[in-house]
Amino acid sequence: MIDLVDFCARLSSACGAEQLLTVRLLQDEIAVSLPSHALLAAVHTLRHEFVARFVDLFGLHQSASQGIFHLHLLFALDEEQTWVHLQVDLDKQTPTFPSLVDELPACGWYEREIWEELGITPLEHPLLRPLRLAPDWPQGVYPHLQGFNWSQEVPAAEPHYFELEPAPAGIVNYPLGPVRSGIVESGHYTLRTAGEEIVDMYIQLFYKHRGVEKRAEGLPVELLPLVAERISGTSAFAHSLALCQALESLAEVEILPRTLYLRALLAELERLYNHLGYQANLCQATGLTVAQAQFDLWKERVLRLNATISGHRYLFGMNVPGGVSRDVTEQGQQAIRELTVALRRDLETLSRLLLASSSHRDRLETTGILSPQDARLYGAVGPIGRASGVDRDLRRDHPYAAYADVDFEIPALQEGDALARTRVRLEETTQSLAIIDQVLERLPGGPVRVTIPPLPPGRSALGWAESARGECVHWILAGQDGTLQRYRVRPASFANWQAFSLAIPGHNILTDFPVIEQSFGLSFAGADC
Amino acid sequence: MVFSWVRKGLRTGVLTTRYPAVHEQMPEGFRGKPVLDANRCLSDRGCDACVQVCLPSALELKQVAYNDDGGGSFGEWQLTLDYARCIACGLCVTACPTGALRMTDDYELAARHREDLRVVNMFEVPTMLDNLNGREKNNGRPA
Repeated sequence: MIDLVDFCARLSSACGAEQLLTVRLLQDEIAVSLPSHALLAAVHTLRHEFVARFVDLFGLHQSASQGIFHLHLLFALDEEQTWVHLQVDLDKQTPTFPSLVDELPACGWYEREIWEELGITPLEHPLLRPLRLAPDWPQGVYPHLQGFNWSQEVPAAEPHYFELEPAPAGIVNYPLGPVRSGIVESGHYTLRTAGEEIVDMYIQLFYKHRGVEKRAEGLPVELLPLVAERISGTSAFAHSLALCQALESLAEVEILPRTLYLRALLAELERLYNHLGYQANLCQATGLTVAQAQFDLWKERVLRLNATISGHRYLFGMNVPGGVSRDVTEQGQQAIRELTVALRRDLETLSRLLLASSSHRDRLETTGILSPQDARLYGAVGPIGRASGVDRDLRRDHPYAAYADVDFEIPALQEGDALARTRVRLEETTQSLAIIDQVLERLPGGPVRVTIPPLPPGRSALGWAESARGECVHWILAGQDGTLQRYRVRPASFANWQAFSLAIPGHNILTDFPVIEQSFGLSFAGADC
Repeated sequence: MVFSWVRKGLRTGVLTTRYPAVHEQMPEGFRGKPVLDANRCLSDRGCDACVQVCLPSALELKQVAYNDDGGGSFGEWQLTLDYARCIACGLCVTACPTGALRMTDDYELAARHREDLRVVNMFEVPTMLDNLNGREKNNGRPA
């Protein structure tokens, strides 16, 4: 645990002693309130002196009596297993704050989001234009203001499309998407090529913005996991787990031991099918058809197992506030054991064959390199970060569910190329099997669900989970009526998409692109809740 | 290496199923299409437990009104279950006090028309009929 006195002293001296307003120590969180002009200094100190890792940046609008606009910055102190939560009260009339992009490039997208959804201006932001809202969204309508209701109709305005500058002579614009073959989700890329080489890339994502955060506000607590599950279907369990943990931490309920183990078990099953599906997609990109079929086959087996134990192939409906909705029966446990034994044996053969297949390996080596430095600056998380030297995993660094009680290794590599990303995920699949074995061996008895008391008004809490694609962090603020006043989700893919565009230009040719895209294995919907 | 993959593939054999010619059985406890047994449903007696927990508003309860010349209205209760909106979460089944709703393992929801996915249940109004003094026989107008 961090030395709080030392922390306060160093942060105060960096910001100017009188400016650090209040520091509160919550359960896993150090909450610091500070004025906006001290923000840059505080962020600089946190990053360079405490090696804090940037996690999230979002805005909050409250009613007039509560000070109107606030800015929230979330950092992780992984070594100390603590979160640092900076809160800044903004000016009521013209809410602005100094842009942090120069200090921390990862903030770019987050600041644009705050600007378009709340009307708070990041001063001197280098590229201030809409991010997630549709091109025909009217100016001056801010969906995250307190008075905005999810069901209200918004008249379409004259659409504003972003026009790229014309390509210089000799450079070809190669448009790709939003609807493409073989890819299930929509995203538009403009690849700029000089001959075969990709020299630049522009991404237009966010065709799937559904306003999930807004939809959750005001809902009864028991319906909230349904909303979280729909952020991204393939990370449904991780997202609902993060939300349920936040709700449980807010309501101060203790979760039963069997639930903690079952949650770890189910989260690993989710990781398994995701990682197996990832290998299948990558094999498809490199044209290794038999391997693709083999991995898809295993993915399907895990999905069917999920349906047997949870009633849903993607584990929807399992997490409820206070526990899990149904127990995993002895029969279900036996089915999991049988699958893991067979998978472990086959996975060994498949991994060996895969890494020895030159037609596959040659496409991956030194392809789409994300340097460790870029990964850190842009806050890459999950297997993508771990393949680029960001050795961070919430299961180990901020343990939740039963992860503190099981032994597992976190694979991390420095190369940052497509091969490293594949190898990290292959190794993680093996580790998942090891976790499942241990969980089943030590599974405590007893009930799996407790009732959750009403949420205390005005209080906030943080919930997190390591999904197959990386960390997802949820923050909730309870309103006066016991429902959520603000729900903030930072999904894993939102953090990783910014890093993705850095891995494309330079020493990659056009035909590398599908391989790089699959090697990142990003979710479109998962970035765009 | 190519041969290793070929061998692996051949050893695996054919695993594709003959769906839809041969039906795929879902495991026990699978949450497919929910169905409503209107005989056990109490929605005509003020119960809207399922509607309350339905996040996508797949369940809708309303009273089909016949206008009364006297200014009031009465009518049959109508509970609509719209499978195009249903997310098969199963919360309505848990909420139902009489067990009128249950989940089935039916996952084949494809239909030719949007309207085919809507199941409308009409309920008579027994308690109200007793107090109508014959107006129900006259299309809602006083006899």
